[in-house]
Amino acid sequence: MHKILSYHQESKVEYLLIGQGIWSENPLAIHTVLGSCVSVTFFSSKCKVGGIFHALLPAWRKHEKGNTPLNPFKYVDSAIDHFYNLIQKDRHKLGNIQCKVFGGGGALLNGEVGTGRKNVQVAFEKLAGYKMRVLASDVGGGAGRKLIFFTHTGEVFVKQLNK
Amino acid sequence: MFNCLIVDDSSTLRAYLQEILEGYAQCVVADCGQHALKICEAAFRKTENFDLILMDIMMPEMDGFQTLEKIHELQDTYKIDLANRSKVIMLSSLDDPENMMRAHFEFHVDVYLTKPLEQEILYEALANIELISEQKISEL
Repeated sequence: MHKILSYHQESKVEYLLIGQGIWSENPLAIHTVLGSCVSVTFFSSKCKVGGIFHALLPAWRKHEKGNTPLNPFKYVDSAIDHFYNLIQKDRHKLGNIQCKVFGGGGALLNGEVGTGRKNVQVAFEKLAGYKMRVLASDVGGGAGRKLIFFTHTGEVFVKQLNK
Repeated sequence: MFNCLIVDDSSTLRAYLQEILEGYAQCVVADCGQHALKICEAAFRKTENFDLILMDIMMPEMDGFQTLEKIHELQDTYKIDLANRSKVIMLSSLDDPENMMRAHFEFHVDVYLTKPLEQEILYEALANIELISEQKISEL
């Protein structure tokens, strides 16, 4: 899969950690590995910019008290809220946003069983609630996934880890 | 070249899919679920198979989910093991969470794409299920 990184040599390469989110106006090739975690990519084809997060759990209010989560990218719901708010600020400039949803598959760590499906469900429901169209989804199943997202083209390349 | 079964009641979309898959896939088309089942049964009887099924959801009489269920039954009947079953891309204008969850978690489709379909998005999905090379995408 490393060969894919060479397709857009203008892109800097970043690794996305669990609980991390990135929005970039500059070309980035962002890669990560997903088990039951979920990544959603956001892309403005008008401005050729985009973002992605890697969330571990579905909903922040089940795990934290207070008005906002300590880290919004740890949870699918707050990560989508964060990106939605960010996109809304520039909605006229950015135009329509294309979303893609990945992950929610086989658990890579103990204690994640069943979390994948819930993560995906929350992602679909949140995006639908914000009327953000999901162009493509590659979710569920027993395997983890390796993913590369190019922020300036919106392309997402995925490989299942059992292959 | 891979073998592809396109199941969609829209003649326009069937023609569009055939056009954008030209050079990559040998396509057989079905205009409804019943037609798809006949095509699958004829193929399975000859121990042939499809590498990919592109399945619409909203079709008259038998929808995409019902058709997939019947195809799975045929695959059981003809003892096609899980490793050799067709990859499935569901292609629908239904973009609600219920249908998308059902497709992925009950019917185990590989990819769900929403209409209107963009050619690049289909190629990307095909690369991700290893039916075409990623190099193709970078050349677009």
